[in-house]
Amino acid sequence: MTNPAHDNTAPMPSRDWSAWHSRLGIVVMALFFMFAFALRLHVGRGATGAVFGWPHETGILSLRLTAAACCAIAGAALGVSGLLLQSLLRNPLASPFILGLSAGAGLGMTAATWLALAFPPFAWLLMGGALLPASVGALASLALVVAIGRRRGVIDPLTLVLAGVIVSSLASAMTLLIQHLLPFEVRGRIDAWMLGRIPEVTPGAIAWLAGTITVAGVVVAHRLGRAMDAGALSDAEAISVGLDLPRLRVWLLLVAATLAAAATALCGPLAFIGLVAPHLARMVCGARHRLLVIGAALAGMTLLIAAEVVRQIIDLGAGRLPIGVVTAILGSIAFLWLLRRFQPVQA
Amino acid sequence: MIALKPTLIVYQQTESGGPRDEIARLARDRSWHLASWRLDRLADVRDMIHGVGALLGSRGERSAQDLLHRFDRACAPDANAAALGPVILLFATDPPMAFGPGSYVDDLWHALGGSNAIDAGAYPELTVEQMARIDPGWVIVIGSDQLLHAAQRLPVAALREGRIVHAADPGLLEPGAAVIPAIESLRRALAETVSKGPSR
Repeated sequence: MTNPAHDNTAPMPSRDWSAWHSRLGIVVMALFFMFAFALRLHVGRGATGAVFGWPHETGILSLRLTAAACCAIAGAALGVSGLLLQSLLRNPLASPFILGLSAGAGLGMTAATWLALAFPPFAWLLMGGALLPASVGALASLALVVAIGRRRGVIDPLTLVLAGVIVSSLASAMTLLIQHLLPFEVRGRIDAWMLGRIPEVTPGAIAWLAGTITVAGVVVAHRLGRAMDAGALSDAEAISVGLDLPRLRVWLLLVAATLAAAATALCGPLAFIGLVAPHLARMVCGARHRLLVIGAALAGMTLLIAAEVVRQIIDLGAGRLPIGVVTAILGSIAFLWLLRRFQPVQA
Repeated sequence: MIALKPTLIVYQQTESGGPRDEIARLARDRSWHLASWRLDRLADVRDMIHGVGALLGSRGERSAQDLLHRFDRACAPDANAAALGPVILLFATDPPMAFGPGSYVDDLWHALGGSNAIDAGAYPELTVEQMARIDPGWVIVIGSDQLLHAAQRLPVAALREGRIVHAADPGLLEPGAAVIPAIESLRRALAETVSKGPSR
């Protein structure tokens, strides 16, 4: 039996039907997101385990709203960041992890912690939590990746991936080295951050900043949608239709890195959301990037909130599963399902 | 270790079943005296002080006896600890983490006559919501001033209303003889806080 998605003889769907189908997909994804958001507001932790229902106690709703909003911001940022990187690198396995952004953010956080402890005048580095060090770390590692990944002044996707692997390994090694210098009791704090966190209480300025960066990033990505459609062609074809490919690649890289840095600063490094969300969006919205950007944002938000709900419900007896572990488990299951579902049928 | 030519090795085990094989073999081959303790509970600290004193001859034994008297005085029940009611023994805020049953600090708190609001898990990670729902009478913040400031920002009634005891001595976080001055300092902090009442 032939998979219709790969059958050249199958009749092409009409443009109208395809657009209608994609928009319906967005509506369905938005409904899933709203359901997940509402679910998070109805699930929390009591003294002895998960509690379900609307919180009537003073202040509890605000904690749950903050957690859900942080998930939405970080999920949207990671989903769109992953989509832009997959488009830029023409690699379906690309994600913020592959360009060393997460490893760079981790190095920034670890280095700032060490500096603050060794030289107290540097304690201001951690005043906004991880926001400043994680953002600086992510953007510095990106700068290094771009510096290494340019060939004859032009960003080359393949070299960029290899540069990402190099910078990621280097940043991870430096993180381990600095962790080794930290007092034992501080290492646990860094380890906990590296496994991801969903804040229930966060300074308003940090949440607003991360939220504004994410909204701006999604809007810019949406505006780049048509260019990304053309960029999906071969280099020669893209240039022949008038696309300024080098300029597009710089934009994609900058927006993807800024979004990943905002998400990491807010919730720590979270695996798989940036990888899986664009694939889910493609499955539902088709291949047009303007809709894909919205779809990837919705998928990222829904996935991260779902992971947070699972984390609230599962009780290990001595604490909860770190959110990074939940996203990795859920993400790998989702990715395996996508792989099996859409694997091309070999002749 | 070989270059240092020790005559005695005092080993703090982190796993059950005695010192690691390579340490035991080295000590046996070179006739080093090897003494090891695993420090999980207050009673383990007491045994260790007694044992180290015995290894160091009569002067060491006298010092150990002095330390043990001090240790017993420090660990005696304290009316101020009992007066606080169920507390959360907080040692991290992001995410919030506390000492629960099975931890060394919980053991100490019970020795002082206090009661712990956490009833499961030695070092459980909590959510802020969980802390708010547990609604402890007081929170004992064990750690630096920075941790205290972070804790004060959490929306938990006890923290908002200043029902906080700050135990800043790092000796509380690591089982060993250094816990004695740390417990003495905790008792002083308790006496001071309870006599003054909540700070806000």
